[in-house]
Amino acid sequence: MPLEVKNVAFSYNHNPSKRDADAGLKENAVLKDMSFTCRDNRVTGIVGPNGCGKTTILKVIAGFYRAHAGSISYDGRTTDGMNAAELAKLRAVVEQTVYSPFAFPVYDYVMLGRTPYHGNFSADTEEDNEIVLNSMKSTNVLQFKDRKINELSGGELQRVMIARSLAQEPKYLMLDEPTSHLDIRQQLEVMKLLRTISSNTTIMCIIHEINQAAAYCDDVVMTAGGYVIGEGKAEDILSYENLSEVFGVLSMQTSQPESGKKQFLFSLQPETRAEKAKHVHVISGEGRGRRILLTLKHAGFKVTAGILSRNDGDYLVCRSAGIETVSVPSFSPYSEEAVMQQKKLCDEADAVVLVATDVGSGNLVNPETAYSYLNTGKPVFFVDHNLKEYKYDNTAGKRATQIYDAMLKNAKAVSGADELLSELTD
Amino acid sequence: MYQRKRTVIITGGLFLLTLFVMTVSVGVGESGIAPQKVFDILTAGIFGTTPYWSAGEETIVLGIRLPRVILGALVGASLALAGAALQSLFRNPMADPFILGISSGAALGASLVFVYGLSVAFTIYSIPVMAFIFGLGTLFLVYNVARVGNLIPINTLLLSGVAISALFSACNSFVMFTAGHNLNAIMFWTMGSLSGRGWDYVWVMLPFTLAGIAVMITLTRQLNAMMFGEESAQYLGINVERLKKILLIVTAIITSAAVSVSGIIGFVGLIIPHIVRLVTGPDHRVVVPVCVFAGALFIVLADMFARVVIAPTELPLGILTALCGAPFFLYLLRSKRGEL
Repeated sequence: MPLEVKNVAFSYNHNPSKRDADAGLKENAVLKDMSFTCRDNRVTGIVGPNGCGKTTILKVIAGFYRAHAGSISYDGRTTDGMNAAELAKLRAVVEQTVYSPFAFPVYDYVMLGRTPYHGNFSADTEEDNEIVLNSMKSTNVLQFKDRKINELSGGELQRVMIARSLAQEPKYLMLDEPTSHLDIRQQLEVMKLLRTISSNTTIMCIIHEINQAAAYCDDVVMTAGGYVIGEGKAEDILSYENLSEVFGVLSMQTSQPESGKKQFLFSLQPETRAEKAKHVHVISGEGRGRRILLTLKHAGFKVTAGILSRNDGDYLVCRSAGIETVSVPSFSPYSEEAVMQQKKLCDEADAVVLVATDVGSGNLVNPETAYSYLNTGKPVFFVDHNLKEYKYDNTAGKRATQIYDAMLKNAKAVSGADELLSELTD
Repeated sequence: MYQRKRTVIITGGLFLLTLFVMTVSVGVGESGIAPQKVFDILTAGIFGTTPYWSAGEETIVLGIRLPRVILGALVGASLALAGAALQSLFRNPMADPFILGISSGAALGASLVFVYGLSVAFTIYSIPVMAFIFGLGTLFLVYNVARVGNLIPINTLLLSGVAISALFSACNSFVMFTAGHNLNAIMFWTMGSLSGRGWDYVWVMLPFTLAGIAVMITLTRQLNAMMFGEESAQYLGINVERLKKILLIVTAIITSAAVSVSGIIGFVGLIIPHIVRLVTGPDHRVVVPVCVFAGALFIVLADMFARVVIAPTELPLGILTALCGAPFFLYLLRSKRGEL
């Protein structure tokens, strides 16, 4: 049975033990109305900007704070009336970090995970010992079982904390930013470990790093301002629109070549906005147009793009941001039809933008098209990110270099997205 | 790694050592009695040893020294126990049984009796009774200042403890300042002493200490979990709010009882738990039982020295506990740096 969160509201200024159906309507409520489900044996990532209540919702779900409204149910049982010990056999929590002024040995710390299974006097059993050793083995911390907890590095401590939570034998595991203090290798190791654990445990994990959420989470719950903005499969929720809405950034989508999982590059949104919706056609490639496409789109322009090959980074970005694109299948020559379409869009556009790329016989059409609009009265912009440093020209007779020279002379040359935007909005 | 056998051996060994030192201590004082004779007097009832000692010696041993030594052991055990529990609760190595102002409250209660002759029911017990009432009353005050609804935030508790403690100290200073006479008696009381305490004090203290030990022994796992914070403990299935209340009430009661029978003996509750942890590690399943005997042993030893150092005058206990305890603690701290 999944973990279900229904209409939960919570405020730090509210009397902590009083229920109040309207708690979420209060101005200072941290959680206003949160509902989502964590599916069984999946990794669900909780994603959202700082201060949006991620840690709070975890603490409420885990039972440290009591929800002022709404309900939480594990296995179909609501947490109301469940005591701390019962809950501790169901779920374990890995906090951001733990600290004790006293030097606790690692083994003993992991053994604390067995606390919910013991009465006041019962001694640790051989079974406890085995569970503890196994959880230390699976998190790869067995080698420092005799070291003191406050001598461990960030990554070691994080794994020891996970080991303790596993010793609790939980069905549900909750983690609060488990990778935030770790170096890149440790981050990947921890996330991989979570994937392994998820084969028989339902995991809810607050994640700061969007790309980790995209790569390792099955589901994502996106939160902002005390509400759930979206929940569902990671690839659906982590989208250009959602990231733009929730974080206020432009996300340029790429993908992990092997797994096909989404990954993102981020940039800030432009501050200026176009007053009237001009149509701009962008001719780019090799992923060099990503930022320009998104910036213009976000600034309120009608943006079209092409011709782009379907394995091009620019194409992925156009698709994720809903930009109309003339495209051709990967590794295929540009078709007559595509060229016609590109011409049509350029004719309609108020401005044409050419982004400098490497050029060969296959994509020579792109600069040629832009070139054909020079001196026609239609504004043509030339974006060379490394201004005046020519791209690799593999065309017969160095045709591309000629075009770029002409562009520098006759088109408006700009160095990047921001300059282009200010030119266009002038 | 916690081993029950090891705990039993350490605790048992310490128990025997405490008994031995207590026996020796009974013989030490202005009129010295050899340990063998003390042992024979003490066990005459059991072994039926024919008396070869004077009636005076029997009175000194059974009527005067023995209750005093036993009371010392009870007080030491109580203070060490309370200190260990509060250090875990507050996750603060600086915590001791007096951190929430119980000592200041009790001292004020005692001073009022000394100076204004304020007394309750039984005149000769006015000081202990007032000290106990004021000690517990202080905790009640601190607790209610810090309370939010049904919860007690630890930091607020600490701060309100410090503030109310300062307030009562000021009141106490005022009382002492205006006292003129009796100042010596108050000073002596606030530095702690077991001088002249008879069996009546032992019978009063005994149930508090035993109950305190009984409760704490059942909470050792919870105390361990609390060392990583309330949140951590909650996630391990511990009813943190209930545990906090139990710990506060139990430590307050045994501390107030200890203060009311012996005055303010500082340092024991702070240092004994640390010394024990340095030797046994921080697991409360060992720390709690070992603290009981280590605290008892420490006070019995300190009281023994208090009687002989500048005999025939007795030194206040609080001076000795700090004087002997601090250097030893510093030595341990240096030799096991960073492993508090």
